[in-house]
Amino acid sequence: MALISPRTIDLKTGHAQLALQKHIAGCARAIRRVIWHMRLRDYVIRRLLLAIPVVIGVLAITFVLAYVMGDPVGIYTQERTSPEAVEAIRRAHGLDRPLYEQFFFYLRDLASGDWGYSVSARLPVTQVIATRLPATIELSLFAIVFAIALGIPLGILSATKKDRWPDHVTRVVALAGVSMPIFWFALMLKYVFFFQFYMAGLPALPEGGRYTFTVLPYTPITGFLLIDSIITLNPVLFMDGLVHLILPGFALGYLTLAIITRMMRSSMLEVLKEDYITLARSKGLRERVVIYRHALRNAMIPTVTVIGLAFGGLMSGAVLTETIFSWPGLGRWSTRAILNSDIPSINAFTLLVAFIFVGANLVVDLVYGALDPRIRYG
Amino acid sequence: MTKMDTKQYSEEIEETSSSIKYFVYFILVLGFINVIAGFVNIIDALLLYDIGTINEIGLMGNIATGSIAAIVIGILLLPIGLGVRDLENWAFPWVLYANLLAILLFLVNGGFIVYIGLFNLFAIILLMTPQIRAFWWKLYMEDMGPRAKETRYTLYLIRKSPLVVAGIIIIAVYICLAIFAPYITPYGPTEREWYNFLQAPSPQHIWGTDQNGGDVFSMVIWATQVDLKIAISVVAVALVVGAFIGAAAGYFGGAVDEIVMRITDVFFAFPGLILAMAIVSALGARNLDNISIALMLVWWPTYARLVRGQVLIEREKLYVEAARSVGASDMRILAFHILPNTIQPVIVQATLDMGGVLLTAAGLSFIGFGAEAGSAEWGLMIAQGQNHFAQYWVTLFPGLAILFCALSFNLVGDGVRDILDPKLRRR
Repeated sequence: MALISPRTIDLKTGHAQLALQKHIAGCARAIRRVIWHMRLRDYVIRRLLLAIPVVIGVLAITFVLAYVMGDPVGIYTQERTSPEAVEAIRRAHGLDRPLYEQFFFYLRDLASGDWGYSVSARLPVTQVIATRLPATIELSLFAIVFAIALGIPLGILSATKKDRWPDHVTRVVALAGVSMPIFWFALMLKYVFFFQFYMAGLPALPEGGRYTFTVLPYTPITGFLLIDSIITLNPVLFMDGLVHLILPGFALGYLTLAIITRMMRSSMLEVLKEDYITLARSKGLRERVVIYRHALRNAMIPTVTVIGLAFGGLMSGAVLTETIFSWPGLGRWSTRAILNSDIPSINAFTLLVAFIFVGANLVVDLVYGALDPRIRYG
Repeated sequence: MTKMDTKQYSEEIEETSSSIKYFVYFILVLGFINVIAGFVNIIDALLLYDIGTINEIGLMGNIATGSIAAIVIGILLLPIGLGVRDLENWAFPWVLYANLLAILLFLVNGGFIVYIGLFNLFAIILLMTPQIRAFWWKLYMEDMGPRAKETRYTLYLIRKSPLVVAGIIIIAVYICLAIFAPYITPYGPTEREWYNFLQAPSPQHIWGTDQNGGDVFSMVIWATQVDLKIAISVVAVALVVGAFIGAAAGYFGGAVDEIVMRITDVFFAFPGLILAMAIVSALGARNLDNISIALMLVWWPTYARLVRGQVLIEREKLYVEAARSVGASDMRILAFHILPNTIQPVIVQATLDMGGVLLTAAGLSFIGFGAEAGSAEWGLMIAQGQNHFAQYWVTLFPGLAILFCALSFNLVGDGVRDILDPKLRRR
């Protein structure tokens, strides 16, 4: 390519040369594009391969935990069951086999969709998950959307008004969010917006649940209440569901909001010190353009990773929030399962959450790779 | 000062002063006392276990923190004492370090062994008396000059930052509350006035009473002991284990590194609270000891990752090369050259994690994994008050206690991270 670079071209030969030059430049761009895609593809493949040992490890850990948790025979037997019968049950379920064979059975069962029977919900585990997962996802999505929508502007505000009062207020809000026990915050929200409002005769927010089930009929179609209410053109149910989402969503999203705000602030401050920002300013661009066009894109990169990590905190928080707001999701089911020593449910919940978390981080890493070319070469 | 000089110096000194001789005797005797105290403590712990005062975990903890440490420190003190006799430069600071460590461990361990800590304190006081200080202080400060300067500058920056100071003060207040709880609180941790349940705050019960008639103020303060103990023990164990594994992985690299990192990946695949929930239910009994164990298992990978990353950076530096060319062994390079230089981010992380562990532990005991009903623990108190809307004080005060405790650790951690950050440090 160096042979036909613009400098070596004879200027007198005119058009043909220029066309050739354009053609070659086009080819080079295409090649670069292919390499870019190959790099991206390699990165995606590498990242997916890295997830495999993690998934195997997750399966192993849940298996070991379930194994340690207690003798699975317990749920089939009573006090009067004879030892022979116990042995028969053991043999029938393959519990007398060596551990690695049991692990293999475990994997086979998981793959074939047999996740066990939840004693506390009196349903097969997969069915419980199918009915309860949408509720949790709805709550988490609401929380994360709220956190992103508020956290990123707050972070930008805090960084651009550094060491002035908006910054101080935002920092206090963020710091409180990181140090606040979620369950206590949820209770206090409930105390103020449900109890005190109710006592004062103000329009109070609901205490808990997904919708006012005593008044409104609701038959799940997709399981997502808001989507279902739109499908069935039911504005009353939609508003009711939205009102029920506010308190739990706010309680759950606050921690994520705080994390996003802090990350956004520090990465924005970092980016604003870069040379290209100084250049943009010295060109006479307006501050708004400098921040939103030039700085924001690079400052978003670390924030995107943090959102992926915050997803884990969101799942943890969902356990606490759902318990308090009697939200019919996975978290509430899991606490009840653990208090009832319902081993298949605990196991399934742990596994599912880990899968969701791994998946979320995978997605975030891929987005990260697409956003930041430096990552792909690493 | 070479060894030859030191010898002559020592002969000179020994003619003029005999205080160092007595000091050496004291250190040697202290070493023996430490060893003996360690053994006595093992017997004591076994007896307590036999009576049933402490459970298996208490027994293990007692032996690990008190006895083993006392024996190891005691055995270490003997060569240190001999080093002091020969006026070796290294020996004097090591008297200081060993005794400080001993005091710390004995405070954690509690029990009769605390009194041995007083002997160690006495050793430190002796070390600081002008007669003995004359032998080592100047050289030590010359050796440690740059580091002491940096430390002083760090302390100056900390003093200058109001948020960090506020955080440190709050932490100090919490620690004082934990230590002096018996003298501050009007009621015991499990004391109840069943006829006075759900009373509003009054002069009698300044923060009111809960549904069983327990005094909320007293219970919140008693709970400081429980919750701080969980946070400190979890972070300490996770830090030591994680640092050990991470340092090994980072230094040796290769297959060890790969395996350790894949294991930490698996642990990071679970959200903390949920893995802790699963581990607690696998451990069986729902009590605070099991919460601590579960949280230790959840938290060590953080430190393993952090220390590994730091060790990978430090390993390539010149001073490590220099140490290796002198012939220092791998263990020596790792323990005395690399690890001290990786400690700063680890300490910051530990401070921040104190808050995180506190919140997670409280959350776990809120759902019902914690202490048995009725004991003074913040998360549990909130759980018990959650149905009493009209009586806000039952949930409000324990929650505020958690909030401020976690907040203070976060303040200190954040502030110190900024202070120690070399990019922000000098401008």
